[in-house]
Amino acid sequence: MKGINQLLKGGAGAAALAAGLLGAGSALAADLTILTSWTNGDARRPALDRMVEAFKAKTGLTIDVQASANEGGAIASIYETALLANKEPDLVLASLEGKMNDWAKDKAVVPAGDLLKDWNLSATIPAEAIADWTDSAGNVVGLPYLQFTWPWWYNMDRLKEAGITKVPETTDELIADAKALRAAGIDPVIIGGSDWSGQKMLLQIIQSFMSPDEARKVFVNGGWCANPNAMKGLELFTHLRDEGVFVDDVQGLTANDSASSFVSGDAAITSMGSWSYKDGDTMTANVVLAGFPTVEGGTYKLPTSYAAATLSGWYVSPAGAKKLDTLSQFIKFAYEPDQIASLMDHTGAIPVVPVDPAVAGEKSGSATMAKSFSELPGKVDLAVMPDIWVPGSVSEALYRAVTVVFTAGVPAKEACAALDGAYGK
Amino acid sequence: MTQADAAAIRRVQSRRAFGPVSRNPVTLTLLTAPALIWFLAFMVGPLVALFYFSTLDWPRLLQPGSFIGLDNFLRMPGDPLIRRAALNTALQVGFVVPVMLIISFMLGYYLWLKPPGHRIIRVALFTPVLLSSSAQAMVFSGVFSQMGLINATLRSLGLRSFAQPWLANGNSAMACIMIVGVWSAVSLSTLMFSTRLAAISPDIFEAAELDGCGHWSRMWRIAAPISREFAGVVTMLQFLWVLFGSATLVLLLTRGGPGNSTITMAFLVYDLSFNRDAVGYGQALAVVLFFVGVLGMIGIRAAFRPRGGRGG
Repeated sequence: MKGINQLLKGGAGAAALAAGLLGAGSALAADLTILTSWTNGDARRPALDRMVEAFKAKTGLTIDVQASANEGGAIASIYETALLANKEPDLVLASLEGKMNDWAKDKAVVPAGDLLKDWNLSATIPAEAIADWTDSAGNVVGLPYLQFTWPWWYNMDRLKEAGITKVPETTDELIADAKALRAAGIDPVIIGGSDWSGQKMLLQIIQSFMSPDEARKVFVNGGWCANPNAMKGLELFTHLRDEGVFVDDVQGLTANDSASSFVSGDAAITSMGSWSYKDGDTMTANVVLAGFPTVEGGTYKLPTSYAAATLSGWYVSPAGAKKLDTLSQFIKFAYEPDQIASLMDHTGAIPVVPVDPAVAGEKSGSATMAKSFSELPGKVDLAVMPDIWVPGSVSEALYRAVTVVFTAGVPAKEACAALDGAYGK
Repeated sequence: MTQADAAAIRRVQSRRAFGPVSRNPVTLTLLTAPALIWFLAFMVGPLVALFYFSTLDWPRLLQPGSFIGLDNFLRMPGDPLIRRAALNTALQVGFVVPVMLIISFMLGYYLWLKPPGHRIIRVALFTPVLLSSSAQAMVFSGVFSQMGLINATLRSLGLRSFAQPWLANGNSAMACIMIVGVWSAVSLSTLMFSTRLAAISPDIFEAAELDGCGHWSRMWRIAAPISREFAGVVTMLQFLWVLFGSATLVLLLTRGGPGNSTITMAFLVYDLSFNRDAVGYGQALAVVLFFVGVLGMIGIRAAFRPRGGRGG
């Protein structure tokens, strides 16, 4: 229900915002226009507003900020519609996913490689973050701004109720723990088996036997059935699923269902990104952040987790390219230490620019985030983040295929055919 | 001749004076020009553009397209996605339209009898018409969700094992969409049938009653044949709505999933054009859908033509 709510909100917001951008008026009269996915309900929005106001006070320039939730790729639709009408905003502040991966290749945005050098940001933004924003043609699609971590969350209080005293380290232990949890009447692993959250968990498990290069190649081109290591991962997934590791009927759940069930304590294990650390703070239970357990003969020696610098970044539009002087002032301002510090202040945001983990954890005001800085490093290996590699034209179909794979009893061969079907194979 | 008579004669003469002018083709064209321009710009123009786009290899709106003739159409028979969408569309039309027709006709007859509380029933029946597609989707996603109405009812009846995620199950998701389709189609059709039956002379039904006809006979042997042409109109409207309007319902309830189990032709036009980088191919499917609609209308018109009577 919440999923549909968000879809509708996203759709309505997108339509209204597209109409607003196309209608122009005051927005285009501003010196700088920004389209962002940081809506008023977003914890980071007040920080953006503070930054904009501070910049206006410092320079006397005017900035118009328009926002829409990015449900269903709404930001990409809004921007592309505005671009086709030559009414695009100067900057877009949003994540890198789906169609946005192709924006530089489509000339929808100005490649940011030269801008990084011209604006002396190459030294400020780490090379790994820039690599995350580099497309298959070698274009830097945008300027990385915020990153995320995406661990597995274990509610140790609920695990203890089932007689489990430590986080499972192997998939065999995970299966045994799931059985113990079920016996104690507690839901084991929960995730949105019908949407993006399930897709991330599924692809994390499937790549257990794949090298990072192999995983990237399959994410880009498909060919799951033809790749023996992908099939081994898929068989591992179906084995876990049919051994009852996931909650019943997981294929019908959304990310919102999953998060609310975990936060309320109904389910003991889930996987959530750093944007949920604030939700974690509301839990009184002892939550441990870790990764997906290791598997015998697998690629990774440590449990796996995701992290990438693609949570938010700045895209420069063709309209923005005509006012690079103004743009450079604003972007440089956005990366100033004061602004980065303000951005971390109780917002849950993790900047891509290097910050002291202890300071960042404290400044965030989030105990869960502080825990992520102290507990995760060295304890997990990073799996390949699918969003950077799965083509925009495949994303939606892949979400639908994921629902099939999460359905109990679907064999690995049928599951891989569903995944390949999303790639038109 | 009174003054009023004289004025009336002047008005008639005045109209006659304008008569020949109004039949002048140039003047007629000029007078209807705004409507013609509107029709050409917003009806014919997009249709011509649709046919043109269907001949392009055009992946995305932001990318240029190149002419490929009929390749998009030739590709369709071998495309499993198109075959699945065609099957689902046929199932949807084949189930929703006849079921809607029978239920709404029977309900319309019942309402025409003006049973106690019929005004309340009319208001209730009008509710789906007043609900937007998005509101309907909200309601039914709640009904079919894991913790929704159906599963809660099953659990309370001790039938927990039958509870399932109806919209996430490949075997039930399409059935759910068809049920919602029937629910939303029945209301307006019922009111239309009820209005049509009210126009039939009551003498016919009274005579039938005197001859010993019960409600069932009166409904199917008298009311149904008399309403035959009208039923054709209702069927045509609902056929077009199901064929072209199903995309919204699918998008809001299942987004075509799980897998591709609920994709319909109308939804696939959207999905190809906006999600799968295949704008030209999507437009080609829209052209096919256009002709399916035209053929369906011709078929329905023929099927509901009065037997042995005049056409049309």
